[in-house]
Amino acid sequence: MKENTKSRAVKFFGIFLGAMLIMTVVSRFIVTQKMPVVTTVGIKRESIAHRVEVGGTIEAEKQTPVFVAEGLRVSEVYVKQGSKIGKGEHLMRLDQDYLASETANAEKELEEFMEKGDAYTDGDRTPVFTEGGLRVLQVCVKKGDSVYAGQPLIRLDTEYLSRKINDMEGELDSQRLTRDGMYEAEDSRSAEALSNQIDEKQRELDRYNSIWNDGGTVYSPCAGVVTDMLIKAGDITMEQAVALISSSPEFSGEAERLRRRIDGLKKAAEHLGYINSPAGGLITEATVRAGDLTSEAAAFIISDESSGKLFTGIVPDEEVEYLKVGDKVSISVGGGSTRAKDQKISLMTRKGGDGCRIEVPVESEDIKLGDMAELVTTKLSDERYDCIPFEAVTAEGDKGKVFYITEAEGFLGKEYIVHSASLRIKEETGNMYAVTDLGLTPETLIVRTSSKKLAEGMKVRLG
Amino acid sequence: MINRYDIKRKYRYLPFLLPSAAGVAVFTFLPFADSFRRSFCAAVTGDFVGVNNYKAVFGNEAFGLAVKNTAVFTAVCIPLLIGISFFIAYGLSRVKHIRLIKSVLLFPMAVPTAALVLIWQILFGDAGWINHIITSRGHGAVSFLGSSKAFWVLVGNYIWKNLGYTVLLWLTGIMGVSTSVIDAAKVDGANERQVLFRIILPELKPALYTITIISFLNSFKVFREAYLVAGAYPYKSIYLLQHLFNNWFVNMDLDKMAAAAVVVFSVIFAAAVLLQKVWDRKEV
Amino acid sequence: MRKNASGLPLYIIMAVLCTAVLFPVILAVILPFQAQSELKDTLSPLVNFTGKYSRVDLLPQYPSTENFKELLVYSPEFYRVFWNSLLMVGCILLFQTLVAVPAAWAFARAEFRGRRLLFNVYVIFMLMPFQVTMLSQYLVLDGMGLMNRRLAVILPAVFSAFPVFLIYRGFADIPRDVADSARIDGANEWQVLRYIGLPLGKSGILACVVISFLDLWNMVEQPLTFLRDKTKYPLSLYLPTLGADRGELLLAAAAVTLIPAVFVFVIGQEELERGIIASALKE
Repeated sequence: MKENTKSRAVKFFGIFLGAMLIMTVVSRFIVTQKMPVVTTVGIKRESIAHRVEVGGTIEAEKQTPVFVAEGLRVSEVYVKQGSKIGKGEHLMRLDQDYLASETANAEKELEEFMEKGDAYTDGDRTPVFTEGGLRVLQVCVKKGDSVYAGQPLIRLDTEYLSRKINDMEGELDSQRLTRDGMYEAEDSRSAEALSNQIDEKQRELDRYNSIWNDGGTVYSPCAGVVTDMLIKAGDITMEQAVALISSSPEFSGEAERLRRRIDGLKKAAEHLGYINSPAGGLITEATVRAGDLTSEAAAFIISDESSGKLFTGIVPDEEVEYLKVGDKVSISVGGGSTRAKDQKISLMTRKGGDGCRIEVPVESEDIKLGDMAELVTTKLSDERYDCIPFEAVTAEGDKGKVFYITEAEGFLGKEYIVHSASLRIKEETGNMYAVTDLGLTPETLIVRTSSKKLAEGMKVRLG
Repeated sequence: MINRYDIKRKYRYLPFLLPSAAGVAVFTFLPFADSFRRSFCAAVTGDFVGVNNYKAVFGNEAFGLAVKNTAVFTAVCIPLLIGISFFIAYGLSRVKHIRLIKSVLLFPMAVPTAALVLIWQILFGDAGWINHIITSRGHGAVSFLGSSKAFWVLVGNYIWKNLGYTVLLWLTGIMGVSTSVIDAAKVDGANERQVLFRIILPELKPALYTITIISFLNSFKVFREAYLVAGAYPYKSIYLLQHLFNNWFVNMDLDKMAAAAVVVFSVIFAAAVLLQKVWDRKEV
Repeated sequence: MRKNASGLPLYIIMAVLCTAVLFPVILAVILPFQAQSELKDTLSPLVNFTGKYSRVDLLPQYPSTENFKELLVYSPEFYRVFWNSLLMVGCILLFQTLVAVPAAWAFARAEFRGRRLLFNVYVIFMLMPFQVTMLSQYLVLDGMGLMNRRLAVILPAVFSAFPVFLIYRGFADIPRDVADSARIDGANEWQVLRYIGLPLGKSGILACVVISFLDLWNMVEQPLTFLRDKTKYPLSLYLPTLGADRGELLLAAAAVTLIPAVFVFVIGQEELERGIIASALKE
């Protein structure tokens, strides 16, 4: 019986060991199947190469713009962009008839303007007053007239005036009588009040009388120009001024502009309509064509070739940090067919608004004034950033996640475990992301591809 | 002729003994002799420093603690084991069908220590099940492993493991007393107690000797349990000699270790010789 | 007459005793069969004590084999350490026996002057805890260049004094005349050993094998000190590396570790008992 148990136990033990043997192999198979296979890549620490491209044009260092009065018709243009010209030579000719009419128009405009008195500034305007309640017979001057001190401005209706005077005298008499009566009645208070009224009225009468003595004329109190005539024949005068005289007239800006325009037009007329070049050089811009009307912008730009070529352009704000004065850049024309390398930036100034004006002197035979050019440079950032290939990163906006592996000594040998790490993407360079905030040592291996979905803490094999 | 025969006879057994003796010499005896030499030298330089290491060892607090603990442990658990197992064996000797009980009692010896470590932690840990039962009855939690109670936990573990074969040994001894003598005594009117004390016990002296030796041997094995459950620096009441040696080894305090090893060896040697003399037994 | 039937109270006491003795083992076998959700209550207080103590369900509410599946199917490293253990223990047992049997025979049979002394030396070293000789062994093994190799664990164990002691007991039983008569018949010593010693001392040898197996299957200090590569660890070292935080796996692994020990115990229990008895009766 005991032997039986024993031999049975031995048998079972054997079965147990056999099962363990089988399971050894089976479990290794299963676990190997389940394990993801990964490929890895190291972290490269590099500077980011940032390519900056700015468009602009090639100008001469010294250039002279040619402005022409606007609104004139161009009859002929003798030069075009790229042509050479000497000092004093004809650039273009204005239509003389048009010029003449424009001049006349301008003069007329000036006249009208002056007449309107808008030519004069607000400055000192003297108001002219007269008694109210009188009828105007005649207005002697008008706006814009020059007057001398004492010149009659307005004639009043004398008959109206005399009738008025008589009325007033009668009123005064009765008022006086009333007052006397009040005194007798010993109503001194009312008498006093009435006295005041009588005094006032008397003064008014006196004034009217003086006007009568003047012949019923309102004279200008000073010399100057009538800027405003505020009353007309048949009106009854009022408290306000009847006219305004300006004693020190000055020209306004508007008038000045008109005057200058007229001068320019006259000068052009003197040259028979020809506009001549103020300097010798190359025409780098010619914006007018025959038949056009001139505009405010420069009609021509004359560039002094000998003064040197300059690339100018506007650098957008986001690129400004990559450029600084003294950097060597490459200027290329025509899509790269012609290129001047290693040109130094000489100037960077802020324009008002966006961007920064940049100037790069160009030394190159092949690049001509007036060419449309491009400034190209690749700037390596000073800092070195960790760079990780695209496929290793799961990116969301400017944040991303990577998996990396750590080695451990396991019971089966070396084991590799994945961990997750997050980072911030700064930029793309080439086919990699330059990242920051990745707190890993440079020797860490980053998972590039994986045969299965990865999770933190999983064991993996290297593929 | 006889001389040669005798001589040959003596050396005949040499090849039998040689592999074992050689191995023991290489792996145990000679290294220990080397340790003995090292105990008089400094660890790093190898200079002769006399009894400095011994002084260091004896002055070492941890050594004192470990010695005290180990000695106390041995002094407590061996008599306890012997006593308990005797009672059980005596009880078993009175009944039939003890085969199963014997197997059960013997079984803990077969259980690998490492397999039960977690179980001990689940039961006796500070957050363990026994504490759960205690606290749910309203008493405070007891820290079995982190207080002086750890000592008793270890003693309990020792007894648990070694009960089986100790009982077996006693049982064999008890059974070995010839029945005729007992029957004769019973006829003479001796009661159970007298049979026990006058007849059985004296016959058990040889068994006692073996049991003591092997129990002593096994008392050192408790270290494994203590180390796995409570770590390299357990509560001070169960900090044994082996803990000390282990920690010295990890810290490469080789000179102190050598000196202490020699000391321990001497103590055990003395104890074994003493035991032999006391029992007046020849080993062979 | 000693075996009275007055046993009932005694039986009950014994039954209680036996249950108490077996209780930890029962726990070790039941717990791995509980579902992880149940085990959480048991294990998490050990990892992270938040005032709740460990609860143990003696009868699993949701029995499941998921822990064993996790261990046996998805942890190939378990097999690695399992075979490591088996390999090491097997090697040691084999060579240990090969070395110890002749030595024990020599001790039992020979009579030479140094015998008692040598034997006593054996016994003394057998009694030493590993830690005492740990240093010297380390130095020797390091000098031999065996550190971090399995041989570092195998060799010292092969030449251990303990099996010699146990097997000697078994041989010492044999009456001298039996062996002597065989010698007179012309057999040389090896043949005596083989044809007489072995059969008669078989129980002693088997007892030694069983005890050694149970001891070696358990071995912790030697591999811990002498082995560094985790790939060489035996099962008994694998278990401590799983903490309570992987408690489910640990419980399942512990249960599987028990199995070979149980097998050996069941197979060899008789020999074991006999061997133990023999060592007691010898006196």
